[in-house]
Amino acid sequence: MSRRRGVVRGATVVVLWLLLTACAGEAGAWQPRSRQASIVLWLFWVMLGLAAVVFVLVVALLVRAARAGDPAGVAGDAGEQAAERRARRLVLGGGVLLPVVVLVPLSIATLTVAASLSHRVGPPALPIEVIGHQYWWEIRYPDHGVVTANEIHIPGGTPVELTLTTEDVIHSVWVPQLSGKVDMIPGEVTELRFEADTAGTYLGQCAELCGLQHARMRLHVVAEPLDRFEAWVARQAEPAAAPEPGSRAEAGAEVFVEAGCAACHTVRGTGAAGELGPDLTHVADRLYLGAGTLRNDRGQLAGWVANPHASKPGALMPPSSLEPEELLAVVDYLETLR
Amino acid sequence: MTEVLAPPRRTVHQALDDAWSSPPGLLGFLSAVNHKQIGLRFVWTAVAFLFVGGIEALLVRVQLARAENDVLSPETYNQLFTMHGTTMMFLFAVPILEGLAMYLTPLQIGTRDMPFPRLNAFGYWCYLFGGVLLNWSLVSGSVPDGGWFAYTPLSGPEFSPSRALDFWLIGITLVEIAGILGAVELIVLLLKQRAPGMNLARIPLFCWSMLVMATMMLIAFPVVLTASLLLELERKVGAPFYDAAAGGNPLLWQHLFWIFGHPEVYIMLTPATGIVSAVVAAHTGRRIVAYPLVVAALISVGIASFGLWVHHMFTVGLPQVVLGLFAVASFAIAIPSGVQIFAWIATIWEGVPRWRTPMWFVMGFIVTFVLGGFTGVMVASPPFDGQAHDSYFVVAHFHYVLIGGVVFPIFAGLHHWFPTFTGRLPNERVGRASCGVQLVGFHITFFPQHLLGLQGMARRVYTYAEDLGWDALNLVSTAGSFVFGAGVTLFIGNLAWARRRGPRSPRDPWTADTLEWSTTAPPPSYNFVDQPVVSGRSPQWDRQAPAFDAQTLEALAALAHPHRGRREVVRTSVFDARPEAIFSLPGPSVLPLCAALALSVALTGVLVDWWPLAIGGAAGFGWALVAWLNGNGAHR
Amino acid sequence: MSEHDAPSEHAPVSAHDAVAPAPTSPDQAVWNEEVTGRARVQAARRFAVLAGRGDREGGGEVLVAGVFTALVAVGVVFLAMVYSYGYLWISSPVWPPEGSPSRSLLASEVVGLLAGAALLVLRGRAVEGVRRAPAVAAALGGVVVAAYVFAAAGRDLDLTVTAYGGIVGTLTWTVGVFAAAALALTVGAWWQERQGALSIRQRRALAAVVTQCWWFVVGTWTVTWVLLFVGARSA
Repeated sequence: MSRRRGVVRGATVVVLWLLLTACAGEAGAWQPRSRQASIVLWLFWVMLGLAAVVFVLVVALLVRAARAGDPAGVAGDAGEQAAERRARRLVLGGGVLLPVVVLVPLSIATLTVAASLSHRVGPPALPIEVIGHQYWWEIRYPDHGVVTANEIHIPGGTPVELTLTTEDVIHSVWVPQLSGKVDMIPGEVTELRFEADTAGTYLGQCAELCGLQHARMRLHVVAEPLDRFEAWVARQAEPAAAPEPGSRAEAGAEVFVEAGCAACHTVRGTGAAGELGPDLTHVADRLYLGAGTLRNDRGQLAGWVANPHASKPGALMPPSSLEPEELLAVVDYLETLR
Repeated sequence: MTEVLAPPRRTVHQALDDAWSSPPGLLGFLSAVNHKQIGLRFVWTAVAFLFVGGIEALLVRVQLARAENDVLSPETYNQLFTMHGTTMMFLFAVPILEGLAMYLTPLQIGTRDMPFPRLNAFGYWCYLFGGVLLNWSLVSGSVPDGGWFAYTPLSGPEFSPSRALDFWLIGITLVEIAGILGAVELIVLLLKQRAPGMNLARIPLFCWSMLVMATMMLIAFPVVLTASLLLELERKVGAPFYDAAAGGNPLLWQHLFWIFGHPEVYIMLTPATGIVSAVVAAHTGRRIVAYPLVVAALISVGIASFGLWVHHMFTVGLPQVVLGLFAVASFAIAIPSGVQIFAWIATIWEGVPRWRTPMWFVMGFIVTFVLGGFTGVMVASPPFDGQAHDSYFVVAHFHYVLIGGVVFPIFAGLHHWFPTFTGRLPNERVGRASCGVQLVGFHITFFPQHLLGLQGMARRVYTYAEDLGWDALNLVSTAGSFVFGAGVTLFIGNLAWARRRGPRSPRDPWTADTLEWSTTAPPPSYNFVDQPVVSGRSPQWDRQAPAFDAQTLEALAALAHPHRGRREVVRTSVFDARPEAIFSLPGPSVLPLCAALALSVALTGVLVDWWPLAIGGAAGFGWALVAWLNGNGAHR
Repeated sequence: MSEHDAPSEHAPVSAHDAVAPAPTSPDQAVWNEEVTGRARVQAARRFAVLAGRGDREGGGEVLVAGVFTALVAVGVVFLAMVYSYGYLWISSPVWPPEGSPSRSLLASEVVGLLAGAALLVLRGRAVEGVRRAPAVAAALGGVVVAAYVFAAAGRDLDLTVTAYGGIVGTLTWTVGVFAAAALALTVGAWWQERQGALSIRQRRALAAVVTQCWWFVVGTWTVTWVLLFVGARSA
């Protein structure tokens, strides 16, 4: 008996430790940064609370039942009938009444939260188009003529409306700190609305299996004050700055076109107008490369251009066959695209 | 005429055994149709696939043990989780439950075999060949990698041009055919072959659950068969059902798949609850209380599960009203589940529990399954599902339901019925230890995954970034998975040991209440010499002598002597199980094997695009069917 | 050690009456004790007195029940296709996107169905109780075909260009396969009957099975063609 108690105590400690680690976890749905994510977390705590109460009740009854061991219940017809009546009361009470008592408020809470999530708050939302590709996100701001990739900048405190479509297979946008996920379905248009209430950079992830690099199809949402957002969007709307004449970057711009990069990538303001890969007009401005695969610095950029498959095997961008000098030139050029 | 009246020269046992046993040797093995042999083949084949799927799961966990791990390539990882899910759902859980049903239901309802024994054998071979074909992909190199749900368009011709998905579709199709045929058998068996006196209110709960399972299979499996057929047509012929660019709709696959997929969960869960009912009754010495309520719960779960499929699609952008309706309907399924849980608790309370291995598994089942039920209610709430869907929270949830709710009861059942399978008893201490190890390992593996899911870890990712702080929980989970795997190995090892070396079991080691314990352990080929007659819900415990009316006497007397060496069983009426007639069943034949082989060859021909093979296989299948039906004539 | 070993422990021969076996112990009945000799002979005699040879040919009804259950499963395949058709219809902005079902398919199915119905008529003479089915099948089929041919004359449909063509083709081919299978079954049953080895009970059971299958074919066929007819007209 005492050994069993020891096991129970041990298990409790483990569970508590796990809970603590969980809460120490940096991000995710535990730390909501929007009205939408907060209200869902609230719903979760309500459900968890109810579940905990019911669970304790069920386990207590089970333990009591296991220890009852009442042979009187088996003997005699009258005893048998009484036992069956007692049992039926327990079954009806626990199996029907208890779920109803728990589920009715839960249904109300769920429907209320659902209504609140679909309710539009505040001024018309800032429209943003997000288009899923294997395995990156194309981001468009139709009101501003901006096209970028894998990084959504939004003004904090303002409702934004993401219009979701896909170029190929099903993807799903999930930024747990801001909102639940919504799928991108071929042939359909879906929507996602939220407003971030705190400035910050929030990690998102494709949540529907979309092929080999589903794991490395990440997304960053940068919520910032309105003035900074407006500055960012104004900068993004401009065409690419021409590289300094005579610099290695200028040579890189030529390599970019000649080596075939331009067949897939667009750099607005130049001849590069490919549509298969991300728009690179302001690529140096982004936080990450390869949809959250690598931090965007010179070394990683060179590595990525040389062979994306080293860090993201299965990515649709092929490894390049550039000479080292050409590679450095292209990297120089890309570094100028701020 | 005279041979009926002549006194038997040999003992009746010998005469019956001559009529009912399979011929010896390899041919006998290949032509066997006896429900006990076929049932056990399903069970042990499924256990073999459990290990295949288990190893795949462990490899997946090794890859996820730390951030940016590179034990597996993304390609291999996707293949492994696809094969893990597919193997566990289609090749382990459903077939092992079917096998248990095939072995046990004829015994529990007191008959000698299933109504279409050759179909039974055909079903087994289809399952075996389907499973082998599916796993052959591992050898051939194009392994399915589109997930066990194979969402279009990722699984379509454009994004999965290799043969991998064809392996998946065709393997699954063969296994589904086996499931549908098994369902037909079980339904007819349970409605038409119950022992005289076993009216609807006296059917053991295990058999009720199998009847509900079979009916659900009968309706759910053809839907996924159709979905697979359409996808295979899209892949091979080019009819664009799921291609949005050509007027198709990728969501059609999701609807069809989940119209099957949600009942599939209850196809596994319902028989598992039947096992629990049998085990709890036997090991507390008390029959399950509130029998009518439990039966009503089984049936209502069966019906309701067909109305819940949309809760797997809460994130595809359906209207709010639809989401609300399906959410509330999904909540409501907690009521029948609750009825069953409390019926077991009340039974344990009123009875005298004896704490042998099966009861420990049942306790583990109740606690784990209740937790899985709570997370199930949570993910049935659309707003919360937005966060949980396709995250590790859901992975944790359905492993609680499928391992806690299905695997633990299956293990309880395997231990409980092992004496009747083999005539030997598994070791109790090892059994209990394996249960403990499994419980501990299971919760260490899957509890942290709830937390990871809410931290933002999506499903089906082969890796995760280092700076997210997910390493610790993932490492714990991986460690737990090995503990769990050790527990499963210990449990199966115990059975493997006991099969040859375990102590001989008495006829009825648990003093259980149902008819499978009224015959020898293992039962003879003909199950019972005398047709059992039933006067209550627990034939082994009922003190009241069975009633014999003229019809029953007639049936008993007719069956008491094997007539012209035929395999004879009693047919009874659907509601009150009055004996109606006697009929004889077909005996051993290799034709079911030939038919299944030819069908598999034909489908393999489709798979490899070699049409002569496909046509040859189809022709062989046709020949086998004609020979089978022509030579049969046994349903007299 | 195999699962069909002879019983490992033989219970002692008990003297209880085979006709009314009383439980051997107060608590548990054992239905597997060997009963030999006088008791069994008595039982057989009593049975002979009671029921003559008895009904040892009760398998026909089981077969019919089995085929019915299997037809439910096949019916679900068909319904899933109808659901797919409906889903594509509802989710498509234009309906039908193009063309209409091929008449060669239609013709082959009509031939199959009529041939099957004719065979059924022939069989119906030998076995009672199935006379109406083929007539209804033929009449129903005739009406729908006429309506469809009238409406769809002059149009044709490629199965692989659009999802509409695909689902229409799949539905019609499926019904064709059902009709072919029922036809094969009819021929098989007829042939077996010609062999003369079947009792009247068996012939009736076979007739019931065949009729059941034909009703199924007629049902799916009617639904399909009404559906396609309405679908094609709603543009």
